[in-house]
Amino acid sequence: MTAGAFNHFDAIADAFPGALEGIVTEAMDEIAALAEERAPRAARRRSPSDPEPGTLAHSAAVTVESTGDGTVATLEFSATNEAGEEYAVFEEYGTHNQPARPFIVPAFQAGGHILEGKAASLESRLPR
Amino acid sequence: MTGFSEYPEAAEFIFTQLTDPPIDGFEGLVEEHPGSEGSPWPRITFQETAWDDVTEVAENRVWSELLFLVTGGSKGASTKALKALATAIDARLHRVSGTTTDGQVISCVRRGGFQLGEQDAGVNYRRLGGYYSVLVQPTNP
Repeated sequence: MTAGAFNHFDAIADAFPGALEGIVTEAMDEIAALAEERAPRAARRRSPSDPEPGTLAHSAAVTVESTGDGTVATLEFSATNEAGEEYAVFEEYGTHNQPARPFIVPAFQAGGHILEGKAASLESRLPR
Repeated sequence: MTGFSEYPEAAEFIFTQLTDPPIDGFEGLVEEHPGSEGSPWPRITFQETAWDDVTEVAENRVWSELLFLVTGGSKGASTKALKALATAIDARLHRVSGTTTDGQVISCVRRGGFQLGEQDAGVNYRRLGGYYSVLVQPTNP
């Protein structure tokens, strides 16, 4: 066996972006699940009456995009109230007369640990 | 360590930092968000948005990290009108530490800025401030 047989650098480099995208996607899916779990269910003045509890939670969408510089993951909650306003922002940050009921920031706070855990598996996702 | 509740200590720290001594030119109140009904504008409000315990062996809590959203808020469409208040908030909460009744704040630092505009019943409201991370533990952990 020659030393050249161990040179998998090209294959590793080729697999790197895909492996990282996999980690980001998996982590973002878990963060989205945490946010959905925490999304407020009870209606408030600037949130719509909720005929189907969980409207806000079910409006979550994750997109993962590869750019030239890396991978960008986005989590968006698009539920709207009667005025056509996307009301996730009112829940997350509160309004001038309503306390916040944060559900996205806490999920991302926990998400740091999720991402770290998955990043630890990077080596196992690459060719040996 | 026996029982300990971090939130009251962290909230006391933020309140004290923002009120003692009073902020020059600010005559409003510092309250938990959204403030009490009838509270004058502009106002400063704070609210805990995330809470993470840091533990060591045997689940001993080393400290807790509480993330607070702290903003100056006013009626009107101008965020610039809140610049001085938000700057004063940051001067008092970023890179500071101290003690509270039963605890100690190891550090308080800004993690990110925040601004939000909203309109309700034809009235504009603006908020400007930031997210502040407060590391708190008992006086004698």
